[in-house]
Amino acid sequence: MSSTSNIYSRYFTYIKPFTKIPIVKNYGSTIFALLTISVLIFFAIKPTVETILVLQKRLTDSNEVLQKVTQKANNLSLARKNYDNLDQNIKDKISAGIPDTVSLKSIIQTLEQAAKAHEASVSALQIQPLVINTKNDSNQIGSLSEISFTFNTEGNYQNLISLLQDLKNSSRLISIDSLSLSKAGDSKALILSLSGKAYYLK
Amino acid sequence: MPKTKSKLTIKLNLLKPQSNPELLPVKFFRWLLSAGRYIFVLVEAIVLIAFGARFKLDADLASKKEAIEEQIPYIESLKPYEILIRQTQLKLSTIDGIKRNSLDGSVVLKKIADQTPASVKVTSINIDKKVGNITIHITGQTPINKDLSNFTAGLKEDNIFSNVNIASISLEQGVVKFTIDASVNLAGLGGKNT
Repeated sequence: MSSTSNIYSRYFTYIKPFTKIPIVKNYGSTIFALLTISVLIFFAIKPTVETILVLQKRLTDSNEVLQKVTQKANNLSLARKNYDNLDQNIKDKISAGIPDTVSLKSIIQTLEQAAKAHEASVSALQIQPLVINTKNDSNQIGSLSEISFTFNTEGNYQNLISLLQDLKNSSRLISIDSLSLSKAGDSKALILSLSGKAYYLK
Repeated sequence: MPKTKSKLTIKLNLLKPQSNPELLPVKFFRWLLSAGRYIFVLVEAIVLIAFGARFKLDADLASKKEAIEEQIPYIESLKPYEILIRQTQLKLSTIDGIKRNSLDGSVVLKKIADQTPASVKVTSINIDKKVGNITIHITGQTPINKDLSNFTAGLKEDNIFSNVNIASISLEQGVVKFTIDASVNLAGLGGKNT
């Protein structure tokens, strides 16, 4: 075996051991140290730091939520106190101005009584078609809806002016979109035709 | 011919290590005890700090969560009040908006009446409110030309009217029939109302 080796020994190439390569010999420990640091940073420190950052973010969010929740609780307490302190008459006026139901009766009553109070005769009262929905879930804040109407009345000028003032100050909130005043035939009476809106909370 | 002198070459490696070269595992252990020690201690320290920090953060988070959960039943118990208050606020803001921007027909009619000369007979008045704009359309007649110009001048002088124009004019049997268009300033009207 050794004789065969001797025969071919001139064809052999000497391969230096890896550890004896000068660059490995000189910088091996440094490279290994860097490699170890990289591995540890990637597999040990990075997940830990990430977890801490996530926790810190959650803590910041929780702080913000707690602050808002506390603020809301305080605001609600204050609002409740203010609402309870509100005069019942004011509450009733607000509810009468914009009721929680369609309450067509109160619109008709308001218009009729205003006309009656000022000696004006009602010639027409038309309420535009509207869809009356059943009340929504009581746990939700309602939305504002309009009831459009046209109201024609006849009377003298001063009475009609007073009627308009009455409508402006009526308990049921009424907004006038258009009005027309014209002479009724040969008499002194005037015809007031107005179209307006009343509101309710759906 | 002199005989060539045979050369003697000596290869001498003065840097050859005298002792046996260290084995790789030995080198590794040596590294572990020198530079590696500091690296591992540092990493251990960071991981331990992170571990402690995590405990603290978890505890903080739990306490915050508990504090939030304590507030929730109280807020939920006030929900009916919240709805009532929000509805009241909505109603109040609506009432305020409508009172501010609604057409006050009596004031407009009074203003027109104030500017109408005795000879001018107004046959019809139309007041129409569109988005943020109130337009009026006055139809009338007068036997005196000058009173028509006084009427329009009076309307123009009043702050609540603007864009006062005679839309049409005709003369029939000695009577001037006219139509006047104008706009009403909501701001001026609001000011008068308040």
